[in-house]
Amino acid sequence: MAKATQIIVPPALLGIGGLGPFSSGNLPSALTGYLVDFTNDLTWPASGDVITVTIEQSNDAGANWAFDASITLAGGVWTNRQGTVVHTSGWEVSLDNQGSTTRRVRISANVLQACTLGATVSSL
Amino acid sequence: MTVSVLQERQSSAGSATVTSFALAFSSTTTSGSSLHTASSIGVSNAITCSDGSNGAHTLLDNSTANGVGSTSHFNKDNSAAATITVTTAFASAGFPSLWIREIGGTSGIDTGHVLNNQNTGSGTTRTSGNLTPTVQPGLISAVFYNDTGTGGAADTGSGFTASTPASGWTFAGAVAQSAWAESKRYTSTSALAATFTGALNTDVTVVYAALYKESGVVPNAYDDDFGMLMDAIGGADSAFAEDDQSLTLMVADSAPVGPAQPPLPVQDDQPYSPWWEEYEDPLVEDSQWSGPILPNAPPQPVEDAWPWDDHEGDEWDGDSFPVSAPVPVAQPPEDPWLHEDDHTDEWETSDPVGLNQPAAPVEDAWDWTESDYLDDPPDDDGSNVQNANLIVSAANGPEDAWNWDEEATEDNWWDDCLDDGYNVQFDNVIPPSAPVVAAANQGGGGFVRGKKKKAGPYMREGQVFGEEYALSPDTGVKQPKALGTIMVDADYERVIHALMKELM
Repeated sequence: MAKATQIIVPPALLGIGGLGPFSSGNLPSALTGYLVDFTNDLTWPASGDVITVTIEQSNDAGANWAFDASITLAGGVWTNRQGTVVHTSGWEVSLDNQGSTTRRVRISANVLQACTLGATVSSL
Repeated sequence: MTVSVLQERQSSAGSATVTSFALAFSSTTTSGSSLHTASSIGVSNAITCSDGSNGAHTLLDNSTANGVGSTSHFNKDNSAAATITVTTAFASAGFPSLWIREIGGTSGIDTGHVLNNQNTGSGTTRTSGNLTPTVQPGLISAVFYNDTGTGGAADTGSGFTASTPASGWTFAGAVAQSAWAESKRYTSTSALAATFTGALNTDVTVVYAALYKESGVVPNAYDDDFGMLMDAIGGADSAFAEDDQSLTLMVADSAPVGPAQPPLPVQDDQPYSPWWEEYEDPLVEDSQWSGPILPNAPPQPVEDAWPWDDHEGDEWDGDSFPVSAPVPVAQPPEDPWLHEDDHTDEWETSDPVGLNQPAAPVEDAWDWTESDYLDDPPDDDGSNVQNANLIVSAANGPEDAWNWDEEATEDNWWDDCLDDGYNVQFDNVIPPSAPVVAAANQGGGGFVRGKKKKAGPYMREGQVFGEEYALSPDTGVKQPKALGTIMVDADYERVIHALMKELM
């Protein structure tokens, strides 16, 4: 399925603490997963755990939510496979194709260190 | 239940440095399922895998070759029925990935699992390498990562089922789909491998594979006719194919184990080979080995009375006493002891001790030596004398007659009695018979001592001579004429002697 943007959290300076959630609308029934594209800047911490991002999903149009996946981003320079410093990084999660038209996802974060970070959630 | 993939998911990330990565199964897992998981990171650090319901997963294989960083796969059998989130943890690293798969209808992982890391030039078909199931049916579960990540598509191997989506996933920040998974249920214990094909000749790839046993499969199989029978019944059920060694003699011959287990058949009387003839334990009778040991075994035959005097010094030999259900066996009276031989024997316990202990044999009368009743009390504390042990014994017969004649003249006549008397009991004491005079004619005349007669106790035979004389036919001299024969005892004999002296 083609990639389709669902949630946009613009890059911003985030203080320590909870952030979100930010929810999507009903996702395409033919989706096979979702992709979160992170964006940081030069202020990104050098070490330690910085932020934990969590995705929840709902199969009933947002009435109930369940944990789906999480990732903890740590400090340090981001480099691609070729060793080049980059400021974007993807996180892809598969979803079983249920044919559902009431599936939604939402994203939240727990900021451990102040940082500048943005996220875009797309269906795949 | 047929072994199969119930659900699976994959997650991966790119350039960002990551320390923890978690992914939930979309549906509640089924109790007893196995969880096959794989994780990799872009550096060669150790990787762990766990979930909140089942704890740590078992590492199956790991590779750090060909610049793949670190890549591992894990297994967890007998999962709980729960909403499970699998977490993989590692030191800070980019390009993490996590693949999770629930396999249902399995009794757990088989012994075979593999991780095959192949580099460029390995060909267009990448393989896990052969795995040999120990049982069948089963499922081979495999996942393939193209670490080069240039987007070379891969197809699943022949006969394998591709996971959803069949187009694969993007692996760890790759620019295109580069991860696929597959599975295949097998019904043979022949070696098999998971394969992926595509334009892969220039790529570094990793194939993970593990074998899972189908539930209810009995270990190892034998060819038997039951397989053909099940083929005839089941038709298309390949699990019972004749040639796949699917059934075992164990299955055909087995019976339920537990409360409903039927009793074991009674053994036939076994024609035992006489191996025990070589067993030299003198206490073991052949008759003890003459039948099988059964719950209702007849009582063990009573052993021959022990010649106690032969066993002095024998070691206690617990093994030689037959062990069976406790059946009280009355102990026959033993042979009379030879007291002169036994009085120094050690106390020797020869019978089983317990509630069913047979009555101890009645001991012979004590050896009433002089020291027994004149000096200190005997050492025997009488502990073995119990009411149950008391048996009224027949009175002993009278002993040989005493020689009153001789003993009466002795100053210490009782000295002769000190060596004996152990058998003198109240029941054995018989009053002496009254003296009997066989011939009452005791007219004047002499008394001639005759021989001791055995006819009765205390009696002596003699002849009485009177005043009548007869002429000797040879000499013509008058000589006393015997008047008759009497039987007298010692006392009478003495009286007669006294009377004769007075008369003469």
